[in-house]
Formats: sequence, C-alpha cells, structure tokens
Amino acid sequence: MTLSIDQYAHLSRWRERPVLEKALLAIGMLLLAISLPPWPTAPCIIASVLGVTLLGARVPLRLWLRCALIPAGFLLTAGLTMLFDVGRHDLSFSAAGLPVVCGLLLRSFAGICCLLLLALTTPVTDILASLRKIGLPREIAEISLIMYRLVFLLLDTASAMHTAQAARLGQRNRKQQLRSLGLLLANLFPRAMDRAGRMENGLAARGWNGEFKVLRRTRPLSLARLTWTSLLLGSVLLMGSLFS
Amino acid sequence: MNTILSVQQLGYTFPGDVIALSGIDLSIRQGRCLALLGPNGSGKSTFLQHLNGTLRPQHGRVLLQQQPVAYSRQGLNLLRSKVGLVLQDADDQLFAASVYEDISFGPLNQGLTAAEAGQRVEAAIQAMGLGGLENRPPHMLSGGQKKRVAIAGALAMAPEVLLLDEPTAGLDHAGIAQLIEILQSLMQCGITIVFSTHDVDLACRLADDIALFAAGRLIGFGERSQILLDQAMLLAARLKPSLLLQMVAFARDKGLLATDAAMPRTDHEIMDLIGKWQQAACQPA
Repeated sequence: MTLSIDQYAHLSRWRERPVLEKALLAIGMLLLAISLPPWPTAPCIIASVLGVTLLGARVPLRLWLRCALIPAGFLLTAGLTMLFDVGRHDLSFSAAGLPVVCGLLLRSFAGICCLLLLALTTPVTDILASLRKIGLPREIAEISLIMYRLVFLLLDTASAMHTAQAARLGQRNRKQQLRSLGLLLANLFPRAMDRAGRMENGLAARGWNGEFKVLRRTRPLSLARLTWTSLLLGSVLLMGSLFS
Repeated sequence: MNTILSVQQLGYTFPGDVIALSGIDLSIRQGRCLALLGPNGSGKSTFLQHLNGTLRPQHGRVLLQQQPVAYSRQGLNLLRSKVGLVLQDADDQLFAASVYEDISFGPLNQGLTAAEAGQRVEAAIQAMGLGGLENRPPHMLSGGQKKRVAIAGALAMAPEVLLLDEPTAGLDHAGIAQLIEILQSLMQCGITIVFSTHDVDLACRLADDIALFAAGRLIGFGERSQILLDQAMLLAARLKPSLLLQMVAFARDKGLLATDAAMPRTDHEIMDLIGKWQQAACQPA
C-alpha cells in the first residue's frame, strides 16, 4: 500500500514544528502569489518555497513530484484550452492570450507549491486543531476528527472485502463486478454501524460524556524561525512590487 | 483477601432468545489474576462487559466492593474509574489523532487537571514501552502497538481492576510475549486483572484463579491447578488439555510432582523440572 500524503506529513522532519510557523510561510506565500503580478513574484515564490520544501523540510524530490503531478496536469489542460477561442463556427488559436495564460499558470503553480509545503509537513489533525483554536466550532472539529479516523478503518474493511470477493472470482467480469460492488456496499453499512456501537462502548468505558477532551502537546514558537519567515516573505513582497 | 468485584445470579439473554449468561455467581479477589476460560460463544465477553457496566444485567446484580452498582451516570463513572476495560479489537477503542492524545482521554474524563493527566499519560507511556510513538496516529501503528496503546489508555485512569477481552487475539508470538510481560508487571503493582481467553496455556501462564465458562454457564471456578488439571472439566467446556497440562498431570500421577507443589506455568518450567528429575534419578542413592 502506498502511503497517503497525510502519512508522509506525520513522518515529516517538520512534523514537530508549530503549525503557525508553517502556515505563516505557506499561506503567506500563497497570499503573495495571489495578490502580486505573476512576474517576477511567482518564479521567486516557486524557487524559495521549493527550496524550503526540499532542502529545509527534506521532502524527497520523487514524492514531491508525484504529489505535484496531478494538480499540474489539471493546470496544463486548463491553460491549453484557454489558448483557443471558440467562435461561432470555428476554433482559433489566440496568440495574444499567451502572456496571460503563462502568468496564470505560473501563479497557480506557485500556489500549488505553497499548499504542498503545508500538506507534506502538517497532518490534517494538526490543521484541524489549529482551526479549532481560531474559532472552528467544537462539534465540527470533533466530527471531522472521528471521520478522519474512521475513514481509514472503513477503507481497510472495504479493501479486505474486495480482496475476499476477488479471491472467489467476484470480479471476473463487468456484470459480476457491479454485483460485487453492490454487495460490498450493502455489507459495509451494517459493519460500520456495528463498529460505531463498539467504539461507543470503548469510549464509554473510559468515561466519555459527549465531549472529546484530550491533551495536546503545544510546542513553543521559535522567534528565530518566525523572523526568517517574515524576512523571506518581506523580500518576495519587495521584489514583487519593485520589479513588476 | 478482599473481594473487589462480584456478581450474583447474573443472567443475560440476547434478542432472539439466545441465552448468553445464566445463573453466574462469582467473586473476584483483589490483587489476583483471574482468567475467564472457555470456547467461543461461551459468554466470556458478555460477562466481561457486565463488570464495567457496558452491559446492564437482565437478571442478578454486579457488586463493586460489596455495594450494588448504581446504573446512574454517577454510579457508572465510579465503576469505570475503578474498572478499566480493554476491548478485543484495539481499533474500536483508539479514536484520537495521536497516541498521546488518545491516552489522555480517560484521565481528563475523570476530571483531572491537565498537569495531573499529563503525568498519568507519561507514566502509562513508560509502563507500556511506547516511548517515541507519542505523536503517531493510531492507523500508523502495528497490531501489538495498538494493543499497548489501548491498555495504556485504560491504565492512565489508574484503575484497580483491569479487564481484557481476548488480549492476545491477533498478536504474533513476540507481541504475545511482550503483552505477558506487561501484564505480569501490572500484577506486581497490585492491579487486579481479569482476562478472557480460550488458550489454556495462556491461562496457565498468567492466572491465579480460573473461571471456566461453557454455553453461558460457569461450570468451574477455583485456583489454577484445580481447574486446569481436571481433564474432564476442560473437555466438558470443549477445551483441550495442552501438552504442558498433560505433562503436569502425568508427573503428578507418577508422584514426580507433589500435589501441594507449585504447578509449573510454562514449557520451560516443566522442562527444568524434567532435568532435575533426571539428575536425581542418575545420582546413586
């Protein structure tokens, strides 16, 4: 099984860094990419964020490429279609749109780099906890947390059932595949209910009273890192506004 | 010795008139290890679930320190603070984003302050050998690690009794060995342990007392040797005496092992004894 982005985030070298520090860099750069003209801001942002991701957080290049490939593919297709004008009867290439499209692509790609930096170093649960601090309602945060936990269990169960079906030739042709899928889904539901019941018992055994209180270990912010991040953001801002 | 938990005339029937338990009388003594031994479907798990209030008895009653359990929120909180439960499937128990957070759940529910709860969590992590895994999410742990996190979560509530449903289910040999060590160290700390199993050797290894279940009834209860060496009783519960038990029974029959001598707990102990018997036999009188 290949690890999910979130699992890499858990194993990341920057896992222990406070979310605020990572978010300041990633979201800060993202805002700059959106708000400043793409040239020369976007290339600067791509270079610096990529540098931080690969050299600072030591995200392996192969992993990064794999993660960037899918959104980059979407960008390219979107960009290409924008180069054509659809007339009433024909389809024409519009060279005039080229600079606009390039700018857009650069800007969007810079955005992807920023988000990947955050996604590959910060697990979903850390982000949820931070959102909770800035005002996400408790109920939504808790339901998201439980869903996040149970999705993995549900996927495990579904994949085990799928394997079992395949072992008994349940996937031998299209028609059978469809039938097997229906059976799988129908069985998944009572199983999920069953598990929910057992989980409730398990939580009750530990004195659950409707609220998921847990201890979070907070890590101190590093003034040095915050300063460096601000300097980096400041210099991109300066360069972007001076040379555009 | 003090009785910490007891049940009287406990009966429970599942929907569809499936009798899970009937007429169970049992006292659990403080500081001892009790094995609920029986085949699948004999009512062990249902019985365990009564001991911490997960199930409410349909007949009879459960007593905590001679007091009938009150099934109010307060009564259940008291019972569950004293009696911790570790489910068979750790995935049913672990919900939080990380090991550390999950273990802190119980102590915080007990109303401890963050500082006190933090100490409990640290101690439980130490005791279960989970150092270095504090920030891992549950889905990135092995089966044995999950089991230890589940035990740590119960242990952090500082219970007097720890209930474990089929604690070795799904663990490999190394995982079982580690679990046994952990349970033995807990027993030395004076925690009363009750676990369910169908493994006679595990019961022989860990338990002081054994309650033998068959088809929802308690068919035998007593000290370890008293139950395990009664072949007829084991067979009545659809259990097979293991090689270890057969060797012990044989040694007793032949007078090699005195009936009042401590009964060996493991293969190694009986092999040591065989070595000694052989030495004794070779020495000229």
